Amino acid sequence: MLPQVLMLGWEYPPYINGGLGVASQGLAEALERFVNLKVILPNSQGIPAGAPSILGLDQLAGGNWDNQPGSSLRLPVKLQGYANQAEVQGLYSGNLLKRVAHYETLARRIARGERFDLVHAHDWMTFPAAIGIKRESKRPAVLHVHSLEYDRSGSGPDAPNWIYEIEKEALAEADLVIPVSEYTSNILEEVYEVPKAKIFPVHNAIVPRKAVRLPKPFPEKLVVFMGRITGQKGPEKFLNAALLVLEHFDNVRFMMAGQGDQREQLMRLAARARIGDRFHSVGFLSASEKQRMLAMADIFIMPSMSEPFGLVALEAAQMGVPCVISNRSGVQEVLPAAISIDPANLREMTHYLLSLLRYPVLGQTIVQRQKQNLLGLDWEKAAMKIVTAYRERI
Amino acid sequence: MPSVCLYFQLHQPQRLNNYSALDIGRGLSYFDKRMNRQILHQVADRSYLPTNKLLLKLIKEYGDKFKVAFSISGTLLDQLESMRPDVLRSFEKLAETGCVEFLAETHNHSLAFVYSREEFFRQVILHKEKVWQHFRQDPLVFRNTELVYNNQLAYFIRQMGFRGVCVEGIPSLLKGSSPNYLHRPPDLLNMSLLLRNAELADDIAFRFENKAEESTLSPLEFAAKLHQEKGDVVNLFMDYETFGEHKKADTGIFEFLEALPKAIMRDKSWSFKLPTESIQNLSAKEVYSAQDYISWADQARDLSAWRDNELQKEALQKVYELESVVLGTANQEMINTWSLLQASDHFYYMDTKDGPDGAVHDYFRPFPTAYDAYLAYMNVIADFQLKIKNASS
Repeated sequence: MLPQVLMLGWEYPPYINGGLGVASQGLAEALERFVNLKVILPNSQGIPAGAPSILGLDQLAGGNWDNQPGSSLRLPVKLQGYANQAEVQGLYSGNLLKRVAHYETLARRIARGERFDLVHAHDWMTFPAAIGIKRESKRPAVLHVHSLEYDRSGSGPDAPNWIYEIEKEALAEADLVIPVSEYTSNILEEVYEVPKAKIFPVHNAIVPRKAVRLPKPFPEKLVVFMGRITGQKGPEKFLNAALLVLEHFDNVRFMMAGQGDQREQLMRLAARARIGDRFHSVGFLSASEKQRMLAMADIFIMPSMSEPFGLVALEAAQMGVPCVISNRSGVQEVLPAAISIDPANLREMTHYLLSLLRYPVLGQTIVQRQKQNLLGLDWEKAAMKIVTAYRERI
Repeated sequence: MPSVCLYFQLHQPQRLNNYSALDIGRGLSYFDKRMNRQILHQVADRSYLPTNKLLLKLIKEYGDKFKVAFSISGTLLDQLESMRPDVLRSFEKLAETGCVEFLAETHNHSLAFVYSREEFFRQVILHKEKVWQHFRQDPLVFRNTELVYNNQLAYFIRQMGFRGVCVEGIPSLLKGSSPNYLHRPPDLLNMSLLLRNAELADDIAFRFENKAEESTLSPLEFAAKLHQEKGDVVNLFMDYETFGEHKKADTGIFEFLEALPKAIMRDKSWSFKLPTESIQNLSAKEVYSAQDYISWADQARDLSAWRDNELQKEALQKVYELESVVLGTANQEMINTWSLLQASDHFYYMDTKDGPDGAVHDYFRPFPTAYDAYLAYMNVIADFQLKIKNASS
């Protein structure tokens, strides 16, 4: 008999803000082959019917959370690291804590009517619900860590905020913790004091897809940054590197895709430096726009200060783009062919960008070797590892 | 009367600085003087000096029964001359015994033969002059960088007056014949090929320590295996740094070398011969034909250690493209820089092979990755191109 898994998700295509939604879908679809899976999501409208079986809270009576009476809880700190855009259907807007609490209430109500062997939750928004369900049902809770408050805002024991507290408390009670990389595994151990025996890292994967290259509508080389425009992702490092590269190399454009709290400031800085015609902030891209930009890119750069995984780098590698990746990231563990950089070292970053621009052969070699790296990655393997962990660790 | 021919290779490149793309046009120093000095001192103290001392002792002990040959690249000779004249003197002392032969190679340990015959010729002549200057010998036997070889090379250096070449003995080319006989290239008389006995040479150079059994090769064990060999001359060619650097003193490698002559000559029919003695006393009956390039590097034993990926191919192309403009400047310093940039080591560091070959490349690479090796090299080339442009305008 297949194990029954109750999965708690937050982002899920088409409601995605970043890697969390893509990974949740990849994992759920692959896990479906090994377990009986039911996924609870805030919204299910627009998600195609079929496997896996998905239950949207918006489909419940009283489930539309925008109609809920206002919570007495207010956000105690400014929320960092989340974009605030319509495309995410308000997943992170308004009173987030109220939403998290509401998700917990509804998910627990559903759980009471379900048969399941374990509950598997993705990131802190669903952790309170997972722990609540664990306590009530006496079933083990598996917490899947795609990103931590420590990554997003540098929060930790010395600078706790309420999200950090939620994570810390839930991780302490969890039966099994699945981080998306060794990198995050170390943070869980060192910052969140999760015992090593409870941690079982499983790398993210990617759905195989053929590389597509598209001609650019301009003659210059194209360097692409993709991610939330917020401190964690290092967009200001990208701008600084662009400034330095342009001093030495003229035939290049920089595009910064994404939305976030630093976007306007960076656009002002670029304008003041008079590189506004070469440094383009393109805002949030839809999935197809993202693919198109990667298909035109000559270099992909991810200068994150802390990146639990960095799924977008795999997408770039898959599209045949040479990647320059922060050494504080999980994705470099599975993409050793990419160039690894210290995001704090502007000179080094600029050196690699300039070199890649000058010597196309380097980029070609990296792309070839990245392709080799990708061969070993697929969601089915990741799902099999998770099932093994279910069986052996709980 | 079977014999053993020992030949040791010595070379240290001028490793590059991690030259940044931001420094192109600034004309900073290309070579990492500190690292090169530090490595030279280290290898001189750990390997060259103690091994030379040991060889001198053995030669005195065995009279003219124990002999060895060396090939020392010009790049290393120049470094020794300026930084370790004591080491150079100890080689000169060995030369004076009459039991040591010095072979010829390309001055800068380059792949010039593959890219430019004119440049190859220039570097071989330069190296011959250096050998004469230091050791008063006019080499008759040639060894190309890392034993890179094909039939064309034999024809070319025969024209230059050489009578023998050191070559890797590759089973598929031997076609059942033994490397322990003198061979000759197709359609060429008066030219002998000394084929490396890879099995026995690598027993010392790579398999000296048996990590699984926590044991090392014993001289008697080695000699027993050697005595089983059929043929005229067993060619044991290897890096000199095997003694004391690749295999540190505490492995017992020096004790092994010290006891080796006695262990080999326990069987009275065996003796040591220099390469020149071999080619003068023996006749080459069998033909050994290498249509394509071979070498002693990597498992493939071809050019792939230096010319496998696109990074290496571009770098090689870029440096050899500069030939006519650099020589055209007639500026000795520029020609010297260009020659140093031809060292095969730079391309060796750019290799991206996985597996056991990759591990060996990693061991030698003075950069964190192959990419960094390529970038430093290309940035130096870019700066050098500007320098040449400025000099010629």
